[in-house]
Amino acid sequence: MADMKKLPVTYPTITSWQWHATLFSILSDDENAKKWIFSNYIQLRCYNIQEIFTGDEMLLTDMMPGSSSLKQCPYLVFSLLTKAQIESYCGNIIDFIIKTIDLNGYVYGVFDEAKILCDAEVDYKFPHELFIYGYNRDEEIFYVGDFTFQDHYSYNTVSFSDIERGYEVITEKDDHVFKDDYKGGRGLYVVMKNSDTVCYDVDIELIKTTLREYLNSMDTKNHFRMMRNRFNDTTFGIKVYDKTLAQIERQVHAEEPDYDIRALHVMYDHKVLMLERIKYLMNNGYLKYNQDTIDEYETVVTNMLTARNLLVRISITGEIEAASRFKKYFDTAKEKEVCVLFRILAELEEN
Amino acid sequence: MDKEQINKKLEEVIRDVLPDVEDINMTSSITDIYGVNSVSLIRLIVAAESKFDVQFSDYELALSSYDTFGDLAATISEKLAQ
Repeated sequence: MADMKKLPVTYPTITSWQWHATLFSILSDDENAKKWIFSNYIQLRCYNIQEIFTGDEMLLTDMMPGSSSLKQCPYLVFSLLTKAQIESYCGNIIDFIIKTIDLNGYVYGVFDEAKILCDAEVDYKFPHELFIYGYNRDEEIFYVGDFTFQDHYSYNTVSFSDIERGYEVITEKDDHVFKDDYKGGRGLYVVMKNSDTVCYDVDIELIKTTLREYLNSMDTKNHFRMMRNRFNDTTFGIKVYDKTLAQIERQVHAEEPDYDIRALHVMYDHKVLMLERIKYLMNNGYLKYNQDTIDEYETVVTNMLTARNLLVRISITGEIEAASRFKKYFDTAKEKEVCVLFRILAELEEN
Repeated sequence: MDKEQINKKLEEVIRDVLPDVEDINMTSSITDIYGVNSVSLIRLIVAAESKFDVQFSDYELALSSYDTFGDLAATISEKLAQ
């Protein structure tokens, strides 16, 4: 076995959830994978759930195919391994991860990051997905990607012993990745890049269908039956703007405000990716090149970014009176986005 | 307030908000060299507003507007001149 190996990663285009940051860390700059990426991630959905760690209510917003993307993307080879398999094949988790990386497999799964982050023993758990892409046997460290180590997505190192402790204490109940797959038990995902040849071309029919469903806020559950669709109160598409705005207003005016920027960050990432999609479709002849359309959609991105930054600012200063400005940014972004996307949909349908 | 005074005051803000930062170079990349992200930038801006008695608009909170601490100093300078 080598002393050190790092699989390639690129800082992800979108970082809103760990599953997206992982997929985009592996595939962001891959031209073949863009064919799948830009055919997907169009529909937005949101629903209220109880936060895993705190039990507080949160608005979970995501782009479809959401956390199923690692399994569904044809430019990745995905394997799910149970804890029993890992132990049977390798004896321990450290050897398993090193051997997997030696075979060009990235590792993804739930670890107790409280054990990883705190030097002292702590009496609580913070089960969170960790993305592992390399190791160094001399320094006894793994190279990982996560949000937990800084207040944004970043690449860091974690010692072998912390990974071992963080893995061992996770129970079946804590392993939300396996639970979300409707699987009992616990374990890890192994993900390999599979993009040497084109196995999936740009799917214009899917783009048209999901754009239509996004713009009309239609229920898209049936397209994504492999996903977690266990919630009945899901809001889809453009109506996610209204739901998110209502959620922010509730948050900032609560007796003890809880500033959760995640829904806004997902919406911002959705616009970033949509802008990239529009440019890609223009550059590859699926749409006529039109700088005005790009400029118009850039105002959508700017307004969503401004709304997200405003919430960060309010969380720092506590100036809740500034919350009245959210509506302006949301209304501008929504109005522009609807206008641009209907025009793009019409052009795609004409072709 | 001249450029040197603005830079000196801004350095105090940076040391206060980002205590891990050691040598401050006003022309180095704030993301690559100092690890500034969108949240820490807004913390810096809020502290700078108070220190310099200026106001940044919501659109001026974007990380992409500032490559270096010098860019932040330039924006503050423009606001002071208004």
